Amino acid sequence: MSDRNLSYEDLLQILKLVESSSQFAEFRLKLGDIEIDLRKASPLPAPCSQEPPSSSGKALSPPEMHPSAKEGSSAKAAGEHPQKADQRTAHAGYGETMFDAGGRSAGEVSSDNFPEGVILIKSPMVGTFYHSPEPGTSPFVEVDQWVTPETTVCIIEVMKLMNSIKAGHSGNVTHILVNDGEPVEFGQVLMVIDPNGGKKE
Amino acid sequence: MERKVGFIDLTLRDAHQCLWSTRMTTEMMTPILSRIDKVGYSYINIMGGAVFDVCVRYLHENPWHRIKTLCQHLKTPADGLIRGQSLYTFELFPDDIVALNVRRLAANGITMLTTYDALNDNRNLISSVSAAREIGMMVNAMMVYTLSPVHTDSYYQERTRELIALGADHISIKDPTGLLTPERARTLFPAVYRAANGTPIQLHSHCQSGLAPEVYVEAMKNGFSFLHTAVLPLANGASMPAVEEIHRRACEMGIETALDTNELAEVSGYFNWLCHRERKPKGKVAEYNPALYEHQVPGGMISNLKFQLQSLNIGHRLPEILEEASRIRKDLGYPIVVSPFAQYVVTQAVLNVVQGERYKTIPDEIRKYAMGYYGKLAAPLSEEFMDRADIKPEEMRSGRPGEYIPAWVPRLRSELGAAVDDDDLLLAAFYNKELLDPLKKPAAHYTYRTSPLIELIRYIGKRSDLSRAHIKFAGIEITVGS
Repeated sequence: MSDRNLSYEDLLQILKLVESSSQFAEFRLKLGDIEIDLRKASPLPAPCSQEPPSSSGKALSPPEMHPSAKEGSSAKAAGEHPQKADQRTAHAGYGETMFDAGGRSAGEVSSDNFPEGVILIKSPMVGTFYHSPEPGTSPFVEVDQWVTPETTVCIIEVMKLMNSIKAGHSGNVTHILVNDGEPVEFGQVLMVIDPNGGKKE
Repeated sequence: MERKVGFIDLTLRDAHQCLWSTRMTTEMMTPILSRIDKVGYSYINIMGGAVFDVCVRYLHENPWHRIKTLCQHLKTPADGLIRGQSLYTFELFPDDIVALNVRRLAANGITMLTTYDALNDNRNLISSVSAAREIGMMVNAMMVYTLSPVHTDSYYQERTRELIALGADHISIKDPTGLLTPERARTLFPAVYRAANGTPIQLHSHCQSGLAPEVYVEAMKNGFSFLHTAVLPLANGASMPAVEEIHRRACEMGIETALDTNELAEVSGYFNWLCHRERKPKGKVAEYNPALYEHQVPGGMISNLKFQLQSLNIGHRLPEILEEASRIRKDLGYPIVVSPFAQYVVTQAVLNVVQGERYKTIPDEIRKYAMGYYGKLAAPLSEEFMDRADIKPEEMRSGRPGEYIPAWVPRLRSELGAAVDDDDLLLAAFYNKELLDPLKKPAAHYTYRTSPLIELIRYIGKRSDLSRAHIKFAGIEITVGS
């Protein structure tokens, strides 16, 4: 360590020592020109694991708690769309259909007991279900609406790409099973169409 | 050939974009600006696509305030990057928004505008370059490097001539995923140098393959004028080469630089300390990995993709998907594998493999890309794709993409009222109200100087678990107690 000029390298060395001694109530260092003497408020060890990774300055956790290794590898992609990754993490593994926007009871439409002869529109991919073209606009289709194979029934967003999903068959929409903005799984049933039901033209 | 090279510092922009998910705050930058200014950089790049966006979305900082604050405290000319007609996003904006944005960058202190188009369709640079030239702003126009049978040396010579014809003061080769090799540089760089015909050339590359320093040596041998680097703690890995290393190589080659190595060591030391204080990763030198050149899919995207495939229980099909991605890239006329085109190629590959049938579902954006919404493609689309996408001839677009987008400024002006200034008007054009509300908090109080001792005292002061701290150093003695 140099005599007069404390360098950033010195600073790092000192603080690594301070941090590695966090289980002690007292820390004293005398090195060349510099003297540091620290005393803890209580004998309790410094809090470690709950420290948020990016909190500026409040660096109480010992260096081995660094979350840095995790952040490094996917940094570039995460920088662009971190909120997407969060959404996906939050959602794991529902294969069953659960929601019925049409107001029928949930029990009626679990994936196993759709009525005979209906057509299930399934998600071709993992993504986010959007029921209308833009936030706040009216939905592509509603329950009891007649659709043709070319009718766009919803959008599935994958990695920020919008995929218009067509009905693929003619029929009357009897169920919309996913709420707007919800994550969906590959093969998850999005809507149910009754090819014979409703107001056929 | 010139025996002099200038450095463009990317520490405050691309380096933390690559290594810290773009999370460096203005508060972390201001204390060291006066020292950065003394290093002897030719330009300092302070703003770019992801930085602007992350400022708003995640740091809740007004990006215009950051630009103004940094420019006010830097004498070295500041450089700001935009993605041509897409500015800070991947959508296309109307010409009037692009031009107003360029004028506001200049008004807030940016002297060099760096602009590029991800398709290398230089018609997408016309509006930004002409806006900059109108107000006498310097322009650095970039062309994006990629590997494909159509991205030949003569392809880049043509792009070079286009950029110079547009009025660029500098041109750049931008290698966003570090694909350049010294071998390719030996043919590409002299070719571009000849086409540039005296216009200064910049090189911007990344270290994913570990080869970038060697590529920079080739650039110096071939008369390039400026090199993009970052200080050592924030260099390497997905970031750019370290300025320390490239400076050393320049010295070995007898090439002159304007760098002050003592000042550089101080600045580098600060960022090394900052990595520790903020618990952020430092860049690590990447090992050479030939796989990078096969599919070209960026590492960050592969880890994201693995996660998605696992949730589909098809994690084992990753190699198949990457192979399909290579075929799709060919079908789509060899887009450059960067955002947003990297997402296009990868998403389509997943769809093709999972559905067991090629192009059964084609995302809307990929159809739009194929129709020419974003610009000219580097090569024609494959017949198989054309057939499956079922694009009608009248749906194809051949004009400059900006021509199809109606002016926006007058409408925004009437919606927002006359009292709204141009910076806020642009923010309203890019973001919705919910994202902008948090930016209205009063500007933080920034400090403009620091030293290791100041950092030590601040650090100790922030440790709430201490009842008493005593520091004695070089005639200074401080005691604090509670």
